[in-house]
Amino acid sequence: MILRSGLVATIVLACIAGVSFLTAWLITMGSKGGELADILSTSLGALSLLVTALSFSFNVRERRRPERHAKVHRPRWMWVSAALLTTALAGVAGYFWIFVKSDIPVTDRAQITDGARMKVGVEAAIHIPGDPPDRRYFAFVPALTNPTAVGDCVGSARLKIALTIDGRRTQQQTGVLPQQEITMDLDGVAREAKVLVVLDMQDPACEVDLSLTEAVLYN
Amino acid sequence: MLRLLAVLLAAALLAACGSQGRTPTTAASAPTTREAAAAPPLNVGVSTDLPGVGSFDASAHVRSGFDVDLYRWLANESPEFTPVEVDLPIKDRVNALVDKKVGIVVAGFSITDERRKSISFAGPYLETQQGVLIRADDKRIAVVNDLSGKTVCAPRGSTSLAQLSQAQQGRITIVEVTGSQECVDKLVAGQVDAFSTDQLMLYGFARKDAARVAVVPNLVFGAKERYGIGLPKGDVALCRQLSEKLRTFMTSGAWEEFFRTNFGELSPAGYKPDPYVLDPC
Repeated sequence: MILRSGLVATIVLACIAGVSFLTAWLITMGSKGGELADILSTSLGALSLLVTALSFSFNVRERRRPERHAKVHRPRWMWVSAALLTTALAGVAGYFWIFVKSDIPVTDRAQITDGARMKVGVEAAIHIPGDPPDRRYFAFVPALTNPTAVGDCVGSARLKIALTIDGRRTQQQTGVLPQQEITMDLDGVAREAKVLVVLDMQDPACEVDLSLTEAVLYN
Repeated sequence: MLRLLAVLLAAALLAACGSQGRTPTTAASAPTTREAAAAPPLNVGVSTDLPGVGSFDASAHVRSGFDVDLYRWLANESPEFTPVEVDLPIKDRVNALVDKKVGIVVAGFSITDERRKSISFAGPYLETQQGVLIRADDKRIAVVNDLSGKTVCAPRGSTSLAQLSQAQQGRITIVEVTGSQECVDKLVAGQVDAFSTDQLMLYGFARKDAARVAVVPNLVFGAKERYGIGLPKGDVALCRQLSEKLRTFMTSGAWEEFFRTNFGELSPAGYKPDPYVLDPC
């Protein structure tokens, strides 16, 4: 009995450790990681609850049965748990590879036009690679750099972001800060998609350079 | 007992895991007010030689200026904030924060992206641009190009010096000094032709010594100098707390009152930032 309780506790603690680690790691990857963390943590959490419930039910049955022999054998619930765990992990992995697909880092491939020495009101464009892009979503982190030693330019800047799909302006976000992660839904792109960035700063004398800290295409 | 614990843990895990998501909690959940009882006095880096902004009259042992009024107003509004003034030369403002010699700096401190690499800012609470101070009887300088061939003084470690070097590259002779008052002394003594720094500071000097020095009217150049309260880098909670106070300061009428007190009849137009568009923390 003590051995089984110990095993249950070990499995649950392993699940907690695993889920905590995966969740923390995935959240650091941004919104996409957050979604995956949700999927993983929910499925593994549910699994750990199931394992606990199963072990409880088997133990109750075991207790009701008279003790006929002292032969040590592996309880059935362990095999069921192992099978469930394997199935769940395979399911998550399969879902990921079939439906989600791997991310495509495009930080270096996303071209920026009119992003150098941008002034207030100037519009730059970030061209999303692919014709059309190979994934449903485009996540990126815009960065601004003040090439001079003076001016409160980057710190006071706000960006207006708009997505154009095949020349049509669609999603728009205002008040975006530099280094803030933005996600754009590219659903319906037939030919090309680009992100337009308009700069707003408190000082009209400011000039900054636009770049991308990170850009990823994903499903 | 152990089973019960396992069930509880699994249930807690399930509940907790489902709510993990995209909302960052580090800064957002930080406290917005500091515990009054636990807060020790806070060292505030201040300037001593910027009339109108922050100056110290050693003989009368009196401090005055917009910045002085500001941190005293903050102390009045926040019982947990007990300022202890620490005199800082302009060139030492960033290092004093980095080395933790002071907790905040309120000293005509221009917010710049360059300084943001080492420290943080709350604000801005004042805006100005770089101007030029000349001898009251000198009529040679009226526009920025008139500075060509002249000797111009600027304080070491200031944005004014960086901007002057950048804007007037090779066309002027720059004299670097430690303190702003030193530039005024050199100007009055005829050792330099002009003193260039933030126009608002120059108005402070002109108001103090109107018979001998004057600000060149309508002569401004370069980026806006936006004064903020300097903070240790990454102190988001303090930044948010101070930004909120500054917004109140600028919308309650206190800003106008202190501007009048320290700059006389100078119109506040162009010197007051939008209180609703402060820099994000």
